[in-house]
Amino acid sequence: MRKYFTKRLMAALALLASALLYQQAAAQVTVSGKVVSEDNESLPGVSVMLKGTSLGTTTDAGGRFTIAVPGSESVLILSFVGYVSEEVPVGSQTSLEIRLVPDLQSLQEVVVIGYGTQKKENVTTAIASVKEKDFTTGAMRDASELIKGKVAGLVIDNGSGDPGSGPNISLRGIATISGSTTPLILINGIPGDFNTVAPADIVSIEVLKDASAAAIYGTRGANGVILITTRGGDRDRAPSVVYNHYSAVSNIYRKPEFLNAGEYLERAKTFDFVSNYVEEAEANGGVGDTDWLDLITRTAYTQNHNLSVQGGGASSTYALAVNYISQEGIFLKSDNDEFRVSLDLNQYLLEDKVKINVNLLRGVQKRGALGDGSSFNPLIYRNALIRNPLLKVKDDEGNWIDPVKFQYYNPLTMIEETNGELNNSWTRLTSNVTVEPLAGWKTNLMVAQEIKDGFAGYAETKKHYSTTRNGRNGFASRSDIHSKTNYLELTSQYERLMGDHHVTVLGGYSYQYNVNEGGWANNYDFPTDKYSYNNLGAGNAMRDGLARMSSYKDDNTLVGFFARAGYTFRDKFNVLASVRREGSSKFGTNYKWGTFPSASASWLINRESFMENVSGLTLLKLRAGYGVTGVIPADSYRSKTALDYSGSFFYNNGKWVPPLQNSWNPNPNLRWEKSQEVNIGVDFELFNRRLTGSVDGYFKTTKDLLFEYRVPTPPNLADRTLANVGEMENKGIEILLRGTPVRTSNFEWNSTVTMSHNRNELLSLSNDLYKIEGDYINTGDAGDPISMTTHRVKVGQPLGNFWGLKSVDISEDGLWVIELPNGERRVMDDNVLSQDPNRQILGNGIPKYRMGWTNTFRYKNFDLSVVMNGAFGFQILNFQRMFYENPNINYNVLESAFDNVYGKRLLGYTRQAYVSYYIEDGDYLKVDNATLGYNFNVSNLKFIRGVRLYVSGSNLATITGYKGVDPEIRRDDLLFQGNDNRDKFPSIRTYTLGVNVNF
Amino acid sequence: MNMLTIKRFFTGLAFTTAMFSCTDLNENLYDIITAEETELTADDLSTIIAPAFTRFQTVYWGWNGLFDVYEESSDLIVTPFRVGNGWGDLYLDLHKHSWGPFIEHANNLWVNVYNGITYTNKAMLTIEGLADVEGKDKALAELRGLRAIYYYILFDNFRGVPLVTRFDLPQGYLPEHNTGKEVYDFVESELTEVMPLLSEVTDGTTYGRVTKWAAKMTLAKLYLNSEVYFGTPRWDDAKAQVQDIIESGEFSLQANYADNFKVANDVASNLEQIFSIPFDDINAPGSYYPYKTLHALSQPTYNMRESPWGGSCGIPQFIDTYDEDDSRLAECWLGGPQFTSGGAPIMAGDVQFEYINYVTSADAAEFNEGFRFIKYQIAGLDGKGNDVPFYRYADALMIKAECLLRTGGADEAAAIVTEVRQRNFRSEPEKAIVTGAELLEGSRYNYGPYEAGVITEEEGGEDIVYGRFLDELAWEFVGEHHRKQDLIRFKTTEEDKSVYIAKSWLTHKPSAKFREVYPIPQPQRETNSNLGQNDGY
Repeated sequence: MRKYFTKRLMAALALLASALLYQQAAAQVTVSGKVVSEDNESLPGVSVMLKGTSLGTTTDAGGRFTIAVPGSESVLILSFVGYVSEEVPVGSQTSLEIRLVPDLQSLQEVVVIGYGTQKKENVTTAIASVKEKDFTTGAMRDASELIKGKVAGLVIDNGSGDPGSGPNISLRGIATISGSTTPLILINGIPGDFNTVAPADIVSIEVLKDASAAAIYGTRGANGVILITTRGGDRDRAPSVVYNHYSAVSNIYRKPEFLNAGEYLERAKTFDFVSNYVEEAEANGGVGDTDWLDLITRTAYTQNHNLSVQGGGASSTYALAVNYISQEGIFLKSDNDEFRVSLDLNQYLLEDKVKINVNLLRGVQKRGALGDGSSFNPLIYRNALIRNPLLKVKDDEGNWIDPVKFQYYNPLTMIEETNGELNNSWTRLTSNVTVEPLAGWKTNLMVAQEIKDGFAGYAETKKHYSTTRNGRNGFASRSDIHSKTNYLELTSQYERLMGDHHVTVLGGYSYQYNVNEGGWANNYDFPTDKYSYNNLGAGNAMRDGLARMSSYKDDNTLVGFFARAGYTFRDKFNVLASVRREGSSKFGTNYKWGTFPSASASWLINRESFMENVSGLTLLKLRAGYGVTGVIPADSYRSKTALDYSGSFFYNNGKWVPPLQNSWNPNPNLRWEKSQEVNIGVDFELFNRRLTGSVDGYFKTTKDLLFEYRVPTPPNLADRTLANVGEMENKGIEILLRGTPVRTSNFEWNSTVTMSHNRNELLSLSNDLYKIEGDYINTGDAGDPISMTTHRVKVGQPLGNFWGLKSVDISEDGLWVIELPNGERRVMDDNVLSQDPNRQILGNGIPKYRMGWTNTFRYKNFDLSVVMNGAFGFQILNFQRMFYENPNINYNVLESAFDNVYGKRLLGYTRQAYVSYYIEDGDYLKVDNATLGYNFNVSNLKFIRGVRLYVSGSNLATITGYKGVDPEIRRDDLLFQGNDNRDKFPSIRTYTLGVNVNF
Repeated sequence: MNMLTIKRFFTGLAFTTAMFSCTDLNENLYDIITAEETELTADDLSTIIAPAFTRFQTVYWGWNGLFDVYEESSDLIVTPFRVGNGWGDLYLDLHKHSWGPFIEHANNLWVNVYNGITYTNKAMLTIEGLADVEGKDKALAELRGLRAIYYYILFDNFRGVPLVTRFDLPQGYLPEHNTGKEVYDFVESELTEVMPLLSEVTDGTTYGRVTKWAAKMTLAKLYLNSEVYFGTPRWDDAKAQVQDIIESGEFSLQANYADNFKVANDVASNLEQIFSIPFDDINAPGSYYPYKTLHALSQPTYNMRESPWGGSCGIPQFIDTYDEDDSRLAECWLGGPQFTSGGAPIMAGDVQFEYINYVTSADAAEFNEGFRFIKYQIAGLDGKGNDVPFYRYADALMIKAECLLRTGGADEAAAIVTEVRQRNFRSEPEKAIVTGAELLEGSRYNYGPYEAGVITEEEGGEDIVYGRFLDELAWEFVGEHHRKQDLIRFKTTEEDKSVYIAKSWLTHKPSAKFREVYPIPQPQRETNSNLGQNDGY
């Protein structure tokens, strides 16, 4: 694999070298100069280009430069990250002093909005924009970590240490009850995810938070939209080459405290363990001392290389980025290797009236697979926790020691005796032709194709329990997936300034066709282990009719027409209105097309005459907007009456016949989920921009919630139908504050705080055709052997409510004392007590408040940034305690199983149960990232413009009362949030050392 | 801007978008077919009726299915909580008669049976629309017969349920809740009506299919329990139905009891099976029961593919009722020291692994407690291909015997019972003989609450009317979806209460009369507001 990547790296470097050779030379006059900042400090590393050529240089450590120019008519272009670019006519001068104005928080800053850009001061909707300079640095798993905690209302929960697994993302609460809350993520206008491009390749991330901003994306906009813009070249810019590297080590964030061998033996003297581990060890190779978790985990090493080159000539630009990352997971064999290349080329023609753009993106990913088609096998981790610490790993002959017990396997065999990989690759080819025949009228045609391929292979040897216990005699499986999406987008925009009136009009058409196919097969009973998953036909199980295979193919089309008009009066009043008419093949015949309008306005109060005398107030803007967005059903064909020949066969006169069955209940009324949102916001800049911020309030109602609603059987065949029924409401407030408490020539402290509060309420779960008696759904399985549901989704209540028995005390026999809803107390002598009339709401798993706090400090050449995140007002059901904090179970237990319950005695049960004792407050404040960097003085080096060295730590410390591994939990299931699953891939802590070199 | 430019632009736009068929939202079908676009012909007949029949497989061996409903709520089998392992749970609700309207077994039974009914209705609608179907009347008659058997199962457990007989119903249609009497009458009239059109052949062509004899067995059972259902005994009607079966000469008792439960019995050579649910290791895998009942250590005894889960077992008080010479004890139950298939002792630590006929309590049983139910042969793929003999000839004989017994023909009844017993007492043939007087005696079952091997309060079985006959039913039909119905039909002398609710066994205490009928599943009531609830729930 490494070799493969090296080859690709070489090819990329060759391409890069040829781009650099794109140089010329011819000059007569020599001009020298100095570039300084507002505070008269010299600026090193500023690009100085001769306009209309690709000739140029950069300033040295003293901010000085020397350049040869053809004559006095020459114009120099000076540009530097974070500063406004300047064009300077040379004239008769030979010595120049140029002052660059910082671009920080500039109102001229351009914000990317859907299908275009807008000056920040003209923005009327709730858009958050994070530029590269504000990104978090360190070992970033994917692009989401760059902005975690920096956008109010955008919630990013990692909660898993699995390398290559993405975070759970939601914006402004939960607006849907099926599928996912992940916003639509567009990379340069094309859908993708946070892992599509390397974090180092990104220059800005914009988050369209409210529906008036997202409505132009119609049925894909209800969860919000995130626009990622990658690095592009600039015209008349000397080539710049940046190399970034980091190495990182990761460890398990916190180990659950189970009894070790010594503790178990000590306890066993006085306590009669059901698990009988001493006896078990004696009968199976003798008493040893094994730390199972230690055996299956490691200090994981990560390395990342990123090389980017960009520049441009008079009529063309280029940008190339190459990224390679090799990540180890903390579990043995959990790895993630990725290689990503992107290339962006622009050519301007016909006096810039035509621009042609080609963008290529290619990513290859390889992950280790510890499970059949999955990166992680929860059974391995579970068994490492619950396994007998007195058992040895292998016997004297080298065979695995693996006594038979229900779901009890030697965790090392599941790692050592398996072999698996997950491969993904994605290729995206985009071309744009932009025509601007008249000033202000621009038309763009985008044609793009994205191809995704995946392959998974997995095998178990004959020493795996699948053979030693289940007699499979070797097992292997493989699967492949292919997906292709074609995009076509035609947009035309007209812009005109007439005195005090500024008008923009946009119209467009968008077409998306997606086709997915794949196949899967497994087999077992192999003659040898040597084939792994590479010779599937060699297994006998297929011949015996026991192996399985399957394949699928489906497609879908999404078509949209959209228009937008903007109007600005005296740069003071802004109005924006848009509409999208969109149709999807997934919708039922009765509802093929939907309309998604929006309107918003803003008023810059500080521009009014009555505000003139307010000192230090540079911005006071009031915004208001309304919009409609949607969510599309996840699967194709669900509106149709699909038939299949699956299922158990029918015995018909000596022959087995496949039954012709209905695949699901058809729903010709299937359509989009519809969200309506009102947003009101204020932006302000005080004390001469020392304190800036925004406050937004929103109110969002989602109708026609897509869900698999229960329907009566009879007359239906299936007991659920995918339909649009329920209604939900989210309302909240978001605050963003940015301040610079200290700013001197040597020291600067910047602080950014984001806060959000969301309230969610389910308004309805029924309509004329669908009705759920009692208006609730019990959901969230606690899992074997606790057969109880953990949550209730109920009309009039927020999502995430825990629903169960309220334990208040322990009886003399060690049984739960349950307080019933009527206040009566009853001893729980049987799990049967856990019935609805006895249950009540025990808390809520969704945080009501979220906070992010970023502090950056700069002292001379040092900089330090600390990113903190917090979540408040929620509870967590601690599954590890629920399952393992009971001394009487048949497996190893947590040390805390020997802490007295309610300070009185140990639990008397031999089985576990779900009661409120295991629900804990989850509030936390976490130091997510801290990075200390140093910028070297490289003025003496000829080819190097800058060197930055940094150390960084992730997931450093958490202030919380939560007893589990990490209160930042996975939130994969929208309906039962707050469950901290016992088998979750534990979170990690990472230390990084990195270097950036700018050539 | 000049107009020409604009015109050109829009022409260009129209052209480009036309290439991509700009508003075409048709779905291309690849891995599915749709009803709208699939034309069925007479050749598709078998696949059309297939789902109507295969649902019987799910009804029986679907998880938490029919087997549990009839056996685990009775005095024969229990799934106790296994210390350190699990189980118990809703199976204890069955054991203790503490289930509520949420119990999964009731809902599964409802959903699976109605799935069969709806597919039957759908198949009938499809067949009615097909041209050139040979013997269309007979095909439709058989489906009506099948549907009536499904309704009989619903009726026996829930009494009143919605009678849905059509597939083409408007969207959002909510069926009405019919009364128990209406369902009973429907089953009776449907079976009576289609009877002349049903096949009388009992060979490979009708195996697993609804023949005249399957219809008659269903009617016999309906009549046999009429007194329970409506207080109106119909012993003679029941007897008349089975008499037809007996006189048909199509059936006879299998020489060996165990042969009825062999994996390789789905050929028509087995003349004891009147109506069977066919299963197959590969095409229609069924029973999970060997897994649910056996402990993991028993895996090598049957060379099972995966390690079993160790849950259910026989209730010791019932195992104690067997005569030591009754070969059915060993044919149905696995107990004592355990050996691999090769005869080597299986060790649990230092001692040989042994299933003991002892249970501490249904709430706390050790892994080795209780004998394991192995009546259905565990072979091939761990018995997954073992057919279920839904109605057996022995059942027809015993129905006749019971009707005779209850109508004053104890000696005649005893002759039939003796006939059925003979194959089970080869070593002591005289023990097979039962007299009429014996059948009039009480039960041998030593009822009473049981704790750790001790019956804490003696109830006995002396007060059970025809108790000995009830015992005979248990020995013959344990694990054949009999016991719940039988316990409800047999009464104690005191207060005329059914054994099902009057007696204690293991951790089960006497329950209330309403437990004889299951609750309408709450999930169904939540989606169909027309559904009422049975008394007591």
